[in-house]
Amino acid sequence: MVFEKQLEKIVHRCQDGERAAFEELFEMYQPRLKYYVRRLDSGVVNADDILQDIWLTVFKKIHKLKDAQAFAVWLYRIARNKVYDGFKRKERFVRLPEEDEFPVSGSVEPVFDANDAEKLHRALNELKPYHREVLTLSFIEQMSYQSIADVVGCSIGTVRSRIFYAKQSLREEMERQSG
Amino acid sequence: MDNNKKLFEGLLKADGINPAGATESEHIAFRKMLDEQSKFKQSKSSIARPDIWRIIMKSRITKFAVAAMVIIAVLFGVHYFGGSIDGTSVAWADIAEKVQKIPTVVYKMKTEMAGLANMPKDKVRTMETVVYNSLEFGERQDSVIEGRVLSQSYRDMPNKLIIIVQPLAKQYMKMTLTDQQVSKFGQSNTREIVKHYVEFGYTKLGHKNINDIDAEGIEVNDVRILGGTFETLKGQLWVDAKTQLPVLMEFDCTADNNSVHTKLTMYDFKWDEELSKSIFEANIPSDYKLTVQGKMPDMYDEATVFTGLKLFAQMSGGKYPSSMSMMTIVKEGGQYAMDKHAEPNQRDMLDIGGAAMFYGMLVKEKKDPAYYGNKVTAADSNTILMRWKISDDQYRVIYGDLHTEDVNAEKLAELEKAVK
Repeated sequence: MVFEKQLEKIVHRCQDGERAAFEELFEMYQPRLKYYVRRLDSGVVNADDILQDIWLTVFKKIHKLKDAQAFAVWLYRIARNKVYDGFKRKERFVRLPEEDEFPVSGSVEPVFDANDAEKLHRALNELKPYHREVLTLSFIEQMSYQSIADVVGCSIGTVRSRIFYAKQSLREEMERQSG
Repeated sequence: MDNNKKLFEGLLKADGINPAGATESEHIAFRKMLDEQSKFKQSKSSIARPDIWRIIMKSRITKFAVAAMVIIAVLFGVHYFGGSIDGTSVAWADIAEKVQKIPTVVYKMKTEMAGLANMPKDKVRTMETVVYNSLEFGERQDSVIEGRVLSQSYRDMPNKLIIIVQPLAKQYMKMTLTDQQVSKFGQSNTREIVKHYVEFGYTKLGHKNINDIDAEGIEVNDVRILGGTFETLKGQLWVDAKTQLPVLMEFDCTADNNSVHTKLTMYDFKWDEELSKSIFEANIPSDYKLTVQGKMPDMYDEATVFTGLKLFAQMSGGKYPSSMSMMTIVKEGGQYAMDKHAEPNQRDMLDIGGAAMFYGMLVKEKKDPAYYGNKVTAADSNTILMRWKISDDQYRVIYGDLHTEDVNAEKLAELEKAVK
């Protein structure tokens, strides 16, 4: 909650055009944004170029953001669009297939231990892109299903389903890598 | 720390990202973008922001100049500045010794260059570099030009490698080092340079206030302090009077008969900073192209000077560099390369620069070298081009056609009389 309040204030200061606030925002979000962009694109596109374009858009458009609390969703939507614009230019854009709705209520999702972060990172890179994306948002931002749905542009049910299958795949991949 | 936060940090670290914040080079690039946007807003233009980088890189001259800057940074990063301190006052020698022992340092370096690759003398290109140095892990330099990360250069001493990643060009160079190169480079050129300020005879500048720090300074005018990279040089070193640690180093240098002008400012020193191993590990995206590999030019191998001079003569139609300063060689070589090639060839530029490194080593090791490239061409098969001492009474001579001969002092005097 403290973080959200602090972020809200920084966003308002950015909207007032305060340069130092932009630098604070950059310091806060650049590392996690870089991780997200790299996971979306697996290093095929120049991540530094994309990140620069994302921040340029943030600088130009932040005054249009109505709800400062929605900053993270807004930022990741910009990032996603920039990466997919790059895909389109390279003619390798493929619409992501939808997973089925969450199949069995009460199914237990796997839980991941932070001590396995390295293994998790390696396994994450082996997942299907749409699985990798929702898990990345969940792991690095602890975003709610609704927020992830807003970033990805699909229904909350699809996100719930996608995360369920993604976590299962991730667990399997980790086990496979452990031999 | 809760599991979520620990997981977040662990994932980012596994990808070579510092979860605590953006890197210094990213901050520099971001600030540059903010500066450009502020200027743009002030001009009240409604046209979309042009991508300055893409515009400047359309210029062939700029492309070659930028390639040359990368090469100079690489060669400079592995230059040999070693030597012993003698003939100085105890206080300044103590400072030099002190910085040798501090395990880590981070600082910023601003490089302003004019006159490279046919660029007009008044057109200054500015490169901002963040240098991370660790006695244990080696050195990393992130360089930003026009708001973009131009290169990330890794001096990986444990693995005897030099890796230069160029994100804008999506390419990288990877070169191996010999054991001798590793041992002679030491772990930090910065520390060696501080030592040289003391070694090469200085004048005291007294005190001045630098960012609220009472600093004490000295000045040197000896080109050897930067390993003979330039033809003229004025350097100032300022140390914190209280901590006795450097806070500012400045160099104002020229090469190629004053046509190349370079200002180097090293500032914002953070001594004994905590630096993790991951900072020094190159993270190369899978689609980056490996453009240069093999051995780094070896300044201790005589073949390096022949390779460099031969390449230069091939490009120039038989001419040699007018002097053996690294800046002169890279500048003149770059100009001939522009006449011959559409794109810069960084392997050739490195090998040409290697000749200067060999010569710089001869100067440093007091081998009494001399060079006559401003008067001798490849057609002058019996005229002395270069010489250095190989024993008390013997000199090795390279002639215009690049054949060699070992001569005594008497014969050398005759050869040099003919060329002077």
